[in-house]
Amino acid sequence: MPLDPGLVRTQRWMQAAIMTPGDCESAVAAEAVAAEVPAAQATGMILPSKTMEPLERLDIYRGMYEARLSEALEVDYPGLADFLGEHRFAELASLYIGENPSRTYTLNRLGDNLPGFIPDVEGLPREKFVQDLARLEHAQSIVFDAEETPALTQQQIAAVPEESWPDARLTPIAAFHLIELRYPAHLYLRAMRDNKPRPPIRRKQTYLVIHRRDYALMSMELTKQGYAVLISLASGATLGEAILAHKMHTPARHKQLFTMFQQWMSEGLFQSVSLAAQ
Amino acid sequence: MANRWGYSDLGFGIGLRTVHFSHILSHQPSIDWFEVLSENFMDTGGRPSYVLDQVAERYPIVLHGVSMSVGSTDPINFDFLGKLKTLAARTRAHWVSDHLCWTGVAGLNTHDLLPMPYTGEALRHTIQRVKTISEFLERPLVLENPSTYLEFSASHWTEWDFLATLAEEADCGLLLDVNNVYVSSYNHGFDPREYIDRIPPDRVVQIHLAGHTNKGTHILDTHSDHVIDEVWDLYRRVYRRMGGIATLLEWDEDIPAFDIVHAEALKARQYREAPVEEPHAA
Repeated sequence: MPLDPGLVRTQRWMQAAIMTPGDCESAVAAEAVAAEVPAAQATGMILPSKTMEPLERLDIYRGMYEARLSEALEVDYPGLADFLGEHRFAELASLYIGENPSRTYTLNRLGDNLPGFIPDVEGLPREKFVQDLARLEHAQSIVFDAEETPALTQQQIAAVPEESWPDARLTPIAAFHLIELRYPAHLYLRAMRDNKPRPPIRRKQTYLVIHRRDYALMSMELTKQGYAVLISLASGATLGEAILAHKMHTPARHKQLFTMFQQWMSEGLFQSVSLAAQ
Repeated sequence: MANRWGYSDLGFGIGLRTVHFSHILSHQPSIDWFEVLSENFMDTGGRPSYVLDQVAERYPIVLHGVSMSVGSTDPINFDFLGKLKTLAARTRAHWVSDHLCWTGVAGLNTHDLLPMPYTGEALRHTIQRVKTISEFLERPLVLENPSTYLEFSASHWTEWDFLATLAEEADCGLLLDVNNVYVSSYNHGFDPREYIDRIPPDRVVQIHLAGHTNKGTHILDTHSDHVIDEVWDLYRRVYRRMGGIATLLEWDEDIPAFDIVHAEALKARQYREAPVEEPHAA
């Protein structure tokens, strides 16, 4: 007998049945699903086909839901999937999706909460490394989609009088992200990308700037001091303030700073330079 | 037969896919047009955005989306529509399409093209939303028939009559996915020829063709293979009834090289020219 609880309830019922984990029969009996359509009436909502029962047909959508979202997570976290392996990654994805269902029209941001979710997941191998890997891949996904902003040109840099550099404020390009890790997770991703044996997982405090150059994602390793100076500059400090704050004004450090600065400029890390009021 | 808006028969196109970006930029292949998945380009300023601008400079573009959720009982997402409108202007899109479906309710999103119950209530609801969306976009929305894997017992309408009535009442265009007609006919046991014969030709502005995966008990619309003969036969029937309509080949899983996908799209040309034979029923 046809069953029509109305469009609102029909859609709420079907969605809840799709998103509820477990097998299909227990899903339609779950409280949130049965609140829309009683479990005893669930099979009456859907017509059987010649080859499939109503709940088998519903189960097609349930299977596609988890597979689609898990696949979307893997697109943003290929290194994590590679390290954990297919089965473990699928388990992690299922747990995550269950607690973080998508709330936007785009799948691009589905994995935004994964780095914060992972520390609460029990039983992951090398959990601190896994956390770093997730944080790094999340940073990369943000930088990948950031707006394109032209980098400072040689002419713009040369136009700044030498004596004015201490008062210069440098604005990073939009596709720019600084990250501190406990493991050199970028080396793992690089080996994966190049299809090479994965490096051993050894703890080493690592400082990176993730950025984009000619639309390609780059990760550049920094010294601890270089990382600190870039953090200050990105926060709006002048170059002089950043140098003083991180004790880079000694003659020995000055040469080191000069070399780093040249590298940052050639990598196109900044989009503009402005001079603070004297 | 021309559609009522005078949208051009753009010829034979394929979907713009990431794996083909480098080939397209370096070879600038001779292809009639590209269909772009709107959501893939709305929120990125990176390489996809750059490539799209390059492609839009050289080729006609049509926008095709999966997230409008036209049939949902949630409020219309005007933030999404605003971005879509901006993208359409930026790419000088010939038209903008999405699906007759819903993707989520209660603020959640399944990211799937979920089936509508074909009831009077659903029809009235969808007509109103399509009118609102078309008005916002300042162009007639074009809606595609989805592949579906279940039918609601509450449905009083056939999908084709629901779609035809919706198109007339909401004054929208149709993207007739011939593969989806075949897939749904297999899954639900109707005659795909009747479906095609009941669609108003003057509403159809685009055709989709694709391969699928037959699981025995049902067919999944996977866009993962060549178009099967039964679908080509239906395409020929569409051409006989409706004339030349912009035709697009979709290939989204296990995507082969650009030239293979393009060659599959160009097969459609011979089905427009070949004499009409009685197509297979599903």
